[in-house]
Amino acid sequence: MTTVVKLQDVSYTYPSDEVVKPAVSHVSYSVEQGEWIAIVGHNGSGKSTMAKLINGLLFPSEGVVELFGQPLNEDTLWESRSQLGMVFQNPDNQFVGATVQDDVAFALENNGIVYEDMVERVHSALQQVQMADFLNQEPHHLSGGQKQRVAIAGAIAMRPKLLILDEATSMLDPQGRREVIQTLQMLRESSEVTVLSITHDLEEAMLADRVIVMNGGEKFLEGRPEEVFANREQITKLGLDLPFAANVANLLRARGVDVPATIMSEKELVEALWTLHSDK
Amino acid sequence: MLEKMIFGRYIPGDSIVHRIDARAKLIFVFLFIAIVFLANSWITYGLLILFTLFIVRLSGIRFYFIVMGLKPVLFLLIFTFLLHTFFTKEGTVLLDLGFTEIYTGGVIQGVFIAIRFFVLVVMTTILTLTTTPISITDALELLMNPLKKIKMPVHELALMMSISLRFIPTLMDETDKIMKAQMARGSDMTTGPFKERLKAVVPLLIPLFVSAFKRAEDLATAMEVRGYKGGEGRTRFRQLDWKMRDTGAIIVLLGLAVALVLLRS
Repeated sequence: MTTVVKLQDVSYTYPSDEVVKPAVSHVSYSVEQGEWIAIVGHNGSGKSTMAKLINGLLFPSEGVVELFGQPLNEDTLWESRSQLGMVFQNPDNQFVGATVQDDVAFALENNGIVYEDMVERVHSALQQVQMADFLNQEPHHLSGGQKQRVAIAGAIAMRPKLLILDEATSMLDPQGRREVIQTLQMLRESSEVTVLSITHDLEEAMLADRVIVMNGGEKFLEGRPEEVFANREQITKLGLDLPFAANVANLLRARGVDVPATIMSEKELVEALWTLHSDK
Repeated sequence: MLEKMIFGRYIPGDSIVHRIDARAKLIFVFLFIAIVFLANSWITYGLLILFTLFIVRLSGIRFYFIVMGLKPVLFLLIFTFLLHTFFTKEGTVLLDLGFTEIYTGGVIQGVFIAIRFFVLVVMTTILTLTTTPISITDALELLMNPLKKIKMPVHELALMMSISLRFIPTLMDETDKIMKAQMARGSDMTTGPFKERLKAVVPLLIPLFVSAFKRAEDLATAMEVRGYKGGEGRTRFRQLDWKMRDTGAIIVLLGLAVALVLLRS
């Protein structure tokens, strides 16, 4: 397995900060190829700063960020960026092209891909996010979820090794969020892409192989989603909302109904509830 | 709001005019503007009108849209007509109004200028109605490419243009939203004296500017992450394809020019 991202004791302090408090402080972790990592934390926990450190919009004040085995600096920046796709929060503000296909082609154009190759890649990327029927649509005729799917297509058209989602679902309505999450799940099954998803939606984090919880710029918890979210009190104290099913299970347990403490998804909850009586 | 704008509006279609290369269309319109000045008699102006109507016919655009395109310049058209009618003193007196006389030469001159205006506006309207703004931008970029030699930032200008075009509907929506939000807070933008209404626009413009700057910053970040570092080494996804029919269109126009030269008095 190759390491895609490696952070070694990384700290970053914004230059304008009056109170000298680092936005990210002494964070280390690594992401292996094909992994799906979720970074969660409430506002100001440093998770967005971390995304900027990984894509080279910011350089760490201390420590080293390694991308694809190379330390990220001004010399390796553009090469690394061509292997990295990113989807941002606001669906409108990252749509560069006049139409769907122009937008998907934008990164390809920037990297000097030849025309014939571009057409093929644009089509296959749009197929992967199920937006192939919208080739010539203009952005203002698309819903938020559709725009985000186009943004994902734009990112994967470059066949990146790493896909970073910076709160990509936080401005969407539930319908749009579902669309995007489904697209991501399908992508994950069909390709080898490594995903680093920054989110405060714990249901989205549940899809990950590994979750890193950030608090006050520090890495607070790390582990498989079930393990991490088993620390319910701590998670709630950090201001994160547990998934609905987990909350229900919690409340049931408080009322003395004997359901397991590890319930995270609706499916598990239903499973526990309908077998509750027969297991006794 | 958007529906009212005819400028820059594209009417989809599959006519020969739609399919002609945007570069050919641009060259065509520019040449046409020059050629119009060759006409100086009834027969040549008549020919211009016929030619223009022929193009309108070819484009398959409903006449309603052409009229809508003419509306904003109608005033100018009438104004220049009247100006020439009253101030050109040639030929014989047609009408004596007491304070001034109208000459036949004046009326003829007025009609000619009006025709000139009419054909120019119709032609440019056809250009924008049958060509998407983005194709026009592409065509401009490619046609101006030689200017790169004299350090003209052609690529940057074209990108600026295409991004502005892409954000027009987004900002329109935003304006609408802010307007409603301010109205909900009791701001009155549609009634009252002009000065008051002007003042009411300020709380509309400030949030709009703030959000536009925010969008610009986000967009710049997104572009940078997607590897944008200027026009150097970039390839093009939108390809323009110059075909025989594009050369044909220009030749037809040159034919018109020759006819005008031969027929002018």
